[in-house]
Amino acid sequence: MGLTTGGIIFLVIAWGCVITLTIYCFNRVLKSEKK
Amino acid sequence: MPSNGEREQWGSKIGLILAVAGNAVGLGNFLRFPVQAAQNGGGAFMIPYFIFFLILGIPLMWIEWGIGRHGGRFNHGSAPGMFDVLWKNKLAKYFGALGLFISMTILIYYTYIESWTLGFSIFSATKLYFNETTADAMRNFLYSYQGRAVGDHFTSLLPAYLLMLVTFGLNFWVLYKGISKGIEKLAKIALPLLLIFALVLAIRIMFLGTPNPAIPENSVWNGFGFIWNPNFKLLSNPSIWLAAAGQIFFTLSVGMGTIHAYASYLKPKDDIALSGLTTAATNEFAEVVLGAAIAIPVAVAYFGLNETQLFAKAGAFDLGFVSMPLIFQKIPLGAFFGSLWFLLLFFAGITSSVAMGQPVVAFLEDEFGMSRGKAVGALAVVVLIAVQFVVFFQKYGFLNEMDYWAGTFGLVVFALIETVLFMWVFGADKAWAEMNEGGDFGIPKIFYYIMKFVTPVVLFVLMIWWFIDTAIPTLMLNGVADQDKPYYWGSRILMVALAILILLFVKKAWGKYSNKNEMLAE
Repeated sequence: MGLTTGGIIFLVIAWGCVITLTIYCFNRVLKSEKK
Repeated sequence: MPSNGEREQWGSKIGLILAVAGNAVGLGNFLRFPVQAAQNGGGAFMIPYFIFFLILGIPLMWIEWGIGRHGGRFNHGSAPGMFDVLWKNKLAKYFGALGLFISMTILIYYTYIESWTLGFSIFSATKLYFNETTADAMRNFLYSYQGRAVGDHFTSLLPAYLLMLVTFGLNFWVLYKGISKGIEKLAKIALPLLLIFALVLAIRIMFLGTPNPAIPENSVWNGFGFIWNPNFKLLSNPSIWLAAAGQIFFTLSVGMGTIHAYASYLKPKDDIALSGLTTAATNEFAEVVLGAAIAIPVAVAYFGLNETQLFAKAGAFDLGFVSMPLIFQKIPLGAFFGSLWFLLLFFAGITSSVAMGQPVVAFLEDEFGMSRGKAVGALAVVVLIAVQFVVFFQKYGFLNEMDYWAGTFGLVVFALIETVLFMWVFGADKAWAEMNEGGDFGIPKIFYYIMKFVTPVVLFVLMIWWFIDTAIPTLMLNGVADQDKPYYWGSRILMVALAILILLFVKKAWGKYSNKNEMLAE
């Protein structure tokens, strides 16, 4: 069975959103700490 | 509050975020989430999961940070005082007492579970379980450690008991050291380490491929498929949506009074918006990215889909403490990876358990003027008495009852009360201003309406559903063996005793306030 196309899409979207949000947040936190 | 009158403070914003994230990241990220996703529609589960993240998780996160920082202005580091300043009614502080009851009750049994992870990391390093090569044998190893069965390695509860004492000792030591020198320092070490450990395990597992070429369907990718392949038909089943709401609730550790306690040490103009969002994002990273990439995929690779489903149905402990040790015995450097896995769970656990101890410590410091040492000591006495019952009666289900009322149903009740108090009684405009004060960004205005109208309704529906679906059967002891029923009742008596103790202390604390006010007035 493996990962279907649907599975890949959901995995990529979920991981993409979470990783982007995490990097964005920490980037802003570090910038605000420097200020 | 320290005896010199100055309120403690976090050393840095990053430290605070890591501490609150540590509170949120726990065993559930690595054990509960993958099982919930796999059993509730796979990739399709992410649809209700993401929706509830937006309308339940994030709003509650911001609400709790807001209530916490607001209460801290008045030197209240725990929910009774915080609720009292939100609502000038004699009852407010007693509603807040739920925040002390829930956190302390969970502390009692959660720390015991956490001590198992410490034990198992030692057992992995020493390969103590490395001859238990079947699920039954490994389960017997776990049960004999817990005193639930007779085994070759453990002839008494002594190892489990000693590890429990060590774990509690570590927790109380961190609490004693205080906010920045204890909790923050722990978070700055433990959280990055656990994320690194999880990343190492996830990468190792991804390269396992198909461990037995003779059984090609037993592969890591089939494991990923089990979690992520969407089954949209299941979305028409309300229980999937309820499972998603529950998972968001538990994973962010809202409804416990712990986030409030941490936030109370913020300064009035410290940011909440970005910090709260960052905490939630960190938790989701640990859960959706790392948690989903470890236990289930590797279990499918070694045991196949059917057996993994059995492990998942049997519960998080089977997955974490039976299935994973069996796998570590099969892979190269299994002792190393096994220690890494259980240390990761230990770090996830201890950063959560210290958070659960903080509300009561803060309550005793702030409302009774106790020194930190005395406050931690008082908490330790109560907790160490209560945990005796958990350790010795765990095999009869003593812990399960505490986990349901405090760690499941109680959370949604507390979350509903605090949301209504903050957004309706205190007032949505004032609450909104409080949450946005000092913010590094403005919370999108749509969340004002979500927090005021949507979140309380969702919580109410959740509470009613859980009451009918699980609370009543749990209350009636459905499915509990007759010989275990006295122990379930014992657990209830213990919880009632703890609740009465807390209520009496809250009443006494406010008695001291009114006496002080009368003296000042004279």
